[in-house]
Amino acid sequence: MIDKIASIVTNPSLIQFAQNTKACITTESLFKATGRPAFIMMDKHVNNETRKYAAIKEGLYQLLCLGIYLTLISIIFKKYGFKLAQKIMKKEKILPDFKNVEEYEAYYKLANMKKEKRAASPLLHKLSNKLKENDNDTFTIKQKLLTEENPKLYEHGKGAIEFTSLAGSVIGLALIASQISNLAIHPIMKSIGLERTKEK
Amino acid sequence: MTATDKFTKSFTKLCGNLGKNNKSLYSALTIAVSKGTLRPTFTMLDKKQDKDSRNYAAFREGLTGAVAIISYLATNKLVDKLAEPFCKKAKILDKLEQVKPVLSLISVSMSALIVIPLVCNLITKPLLDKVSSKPVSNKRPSEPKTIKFQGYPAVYKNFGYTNGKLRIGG
Repeated sequence: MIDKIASIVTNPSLIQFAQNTKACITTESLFKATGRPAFIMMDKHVNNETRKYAAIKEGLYQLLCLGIYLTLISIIFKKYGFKLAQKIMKKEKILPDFKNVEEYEAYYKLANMKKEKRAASPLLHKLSNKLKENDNDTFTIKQKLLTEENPKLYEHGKGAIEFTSLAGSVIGLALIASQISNLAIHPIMKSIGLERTKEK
Repeated sequence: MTATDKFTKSFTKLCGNLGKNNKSLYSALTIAVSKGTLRPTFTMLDKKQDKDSRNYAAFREGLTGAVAIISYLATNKLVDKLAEPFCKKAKILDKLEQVKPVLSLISVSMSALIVIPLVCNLITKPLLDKVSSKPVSNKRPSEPKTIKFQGYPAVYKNFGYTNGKLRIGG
């Protein structure tokens, strides 16, 4: 039994998943969207119809917030956040001048692969043929990726993406998504017949 | 060292740490703190609701945030303590640092799924009854009633199942 659990918690894909802020927020929100409605339905202080209404509303709210957050992260935060982080850290010279976040993500995934698998990966085409860590370097980072067993991961780039997702969770999830969800939820509840239009 | 240099150094250090060792706890806490403070603030600023409803909703949202922060920290501390004995028993002590983020994800998920809603269910109503002068009723308003008022029938309709009391989120 313990071996089975150990093989699950040491699974490399699960370890990577657990270190990804966007994945963690998605998981947490999905559990919230399941757990909260379930516990609202168990609350005996409230009558059945109110429970049903509040449970559906809570589930919808969490799912709407998650959808809005993921959209905002993909379109705005990740793209511009990574660029901004690159600018801030430029002086430190710890992150090569990746063209954009997609190029860095492709590099990071390739660097985590086994060396023999990298050459055949379609991700390799996303990397520039000219990009070097320093101008004085003889080899490009693409060449290093294909020849070195353990190339640098440039973890500051991954950290910048995670930081952007965290900042995005405050601005996107707590500020923007909450407000949009509160506006959108009543028309949705009305359309599925769980809320009536207020009579004057 | 200028303020900009200090900021750059701190930001670089933060990104380095997050890149090497990110945990689900960080995102869960960020959301709990931001929602636990911002949502009650927005609720209190919403002048469309009556004062009682605003107070109730803001209290409930703030309480959910506080419960969430405590639950995430407590469950994470617990799994952190259990991680080493577990890895020893499973003979994977060399992978302890890799196992910790996975256990953090599991603790955050279990808190969101069970611990937080359960604790909120148990403490919200008694606490609200204690802090508010009148007990809070979550009952759905009854069907339209005909009430005799000074000899003239008047129809009172009360729409909205929640009576503005059962706000969601947090």
